[in-house]
Amino acid sequence: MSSATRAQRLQRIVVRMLHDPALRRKMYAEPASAAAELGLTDAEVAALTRPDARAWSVDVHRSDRVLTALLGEFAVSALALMAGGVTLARLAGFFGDPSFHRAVMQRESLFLSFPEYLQSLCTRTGAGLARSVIALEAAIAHVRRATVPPGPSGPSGPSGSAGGGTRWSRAATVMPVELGTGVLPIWERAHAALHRGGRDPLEALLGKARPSLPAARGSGTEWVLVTLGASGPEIGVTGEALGRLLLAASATPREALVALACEEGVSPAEADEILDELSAEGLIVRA
Amino acid sequence: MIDRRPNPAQPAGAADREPPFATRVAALPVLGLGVSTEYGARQASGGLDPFALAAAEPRFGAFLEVGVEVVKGLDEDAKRWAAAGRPTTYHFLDVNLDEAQDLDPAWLDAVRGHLATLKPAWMCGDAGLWHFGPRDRGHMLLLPPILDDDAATEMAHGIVALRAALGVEVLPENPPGQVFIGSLHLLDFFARVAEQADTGLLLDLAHLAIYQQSQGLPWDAALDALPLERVVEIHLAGGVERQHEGLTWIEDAHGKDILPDAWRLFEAIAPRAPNLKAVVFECERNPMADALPGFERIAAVVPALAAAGARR
Repeated sequence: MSSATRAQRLQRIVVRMLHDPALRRKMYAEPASAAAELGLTDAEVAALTRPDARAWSVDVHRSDRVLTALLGEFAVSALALMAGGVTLARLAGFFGDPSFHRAVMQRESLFLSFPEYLQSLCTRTGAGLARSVIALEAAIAHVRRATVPPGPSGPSGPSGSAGGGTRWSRAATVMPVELGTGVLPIWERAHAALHRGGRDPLEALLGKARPSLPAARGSGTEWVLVTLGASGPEIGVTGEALGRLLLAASATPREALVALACEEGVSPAEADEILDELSAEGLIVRA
Repeated sequence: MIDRRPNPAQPAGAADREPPFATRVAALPVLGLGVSTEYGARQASGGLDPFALAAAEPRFGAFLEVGVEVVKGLDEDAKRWAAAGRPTTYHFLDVNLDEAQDLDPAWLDAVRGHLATLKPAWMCGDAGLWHFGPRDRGHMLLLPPILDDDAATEMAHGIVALRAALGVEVLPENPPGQVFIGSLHLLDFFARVAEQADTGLLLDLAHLAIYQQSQGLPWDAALDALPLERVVEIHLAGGVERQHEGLTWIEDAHGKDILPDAWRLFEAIAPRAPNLKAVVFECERNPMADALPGFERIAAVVPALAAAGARR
């Protein structure tokens, strides 16, 4: 946000006002309060409220189109939440949520902020399945949007070795996720049912024949690794130790990663080898 | 109130080695009258067939303006038209000209690929906010820019950068909208953009007529701000008057019935625009028979342009 020009900042407020009727009402009814809340000058608020207030909503389906696109990627999450009583209107409440407004102001993808809102809807007891499914679909959305760094030498750099004295991060195309036991096959079946025949998953979500979700069995957890394959995100089961190691790799000194691996019972030499292998496979990269 | 001050800004620094617009525009081809399309438009709507139009009335189908979203690419109609060596223009649908981050290498590479296929006379497109945040699905909204000097300068920088990156003329188009923020009149804003980027303009007269109506202005307000010599292309399209909570507004519906104020603007501007090389009747959603009367009236206003396109 800091790099945005004044005009871009105002434009982003316009986007927020177009999608959030409550913000529009506040801007028109309580301009001084809105100015303070949004960090705008009185003149900027005056400019933003000069148009006829009705003009903001002539496109009555604007937010619906965005929500439809979001639900296309978070269809099983929506299914799990709706099975727990969450309505479509509550899903549309995203446009009034801080996660939406922050994403717009900071030029983030809504597909990466939407799951944050969805998680906030998991309030009732027994929402574990929904939490896991949202986490999985968030990881898929993240990996789908990852930028693969260019260069013929691959993501590890010229040496291809996870040598000492460097900091390492998980590749942007890799996301480990901890799920409830048995959630992955439930997600796979529900995803297939919602997208059957290439249909819009929203039709299935809103239709009478909405797929049902079985309860996840077991109280434990398991780890999956979402990676970016040639034709899109791929999901594979992985071990907890590797999952936690990858999750910890965020501009992390190599020594710290070695120490973390050693906590799982491997020797420092074996930990070195593991990091080299992860680097060679492109799962971790120099930070 | 709308600010009508002269442009205080200096040119944004179009590449020093580049000839001025006045020289460059002379090298652009005269395309005549054409139609627009975008991915799957004909199949989805059962609307105008550009091949049938060109065959039936060469004056009206002299070129095809291809709307491109790189994530979708080019449909079979666009590829077939280009493969036949017929003239095109490239209308972008997915770049925010005033956001430097939007000109990312992957997008530019994809555009270069489509340019190689289409070999367009130039690139053009609505100079507004096509999407918010990174380019992504479902974010398409197309909002007008903030109408002030800072935004004009940012947009001019983007146009210069895109022109330099792709090696084609980039003509900004005044976008549609119902909510306009900023102190400049739309035409003052685009006059500043054009001057600072040293570029030509695509003037959408339906959008302009809708803007004047939405601001409560007469149809010809601020026409004196328009640099006529920079108008290279004009769009005309039918609009539909609608009501929303008691507010009368006009939808840019791309229908066959062009708004009376858009006709007035066309008749006032087109004959006096010395570098006008192309007019698009955006009627892609209509059967050919419904569109022909509009084309005839357009050709009557710019007969030489219509004839020149048909001779290509």
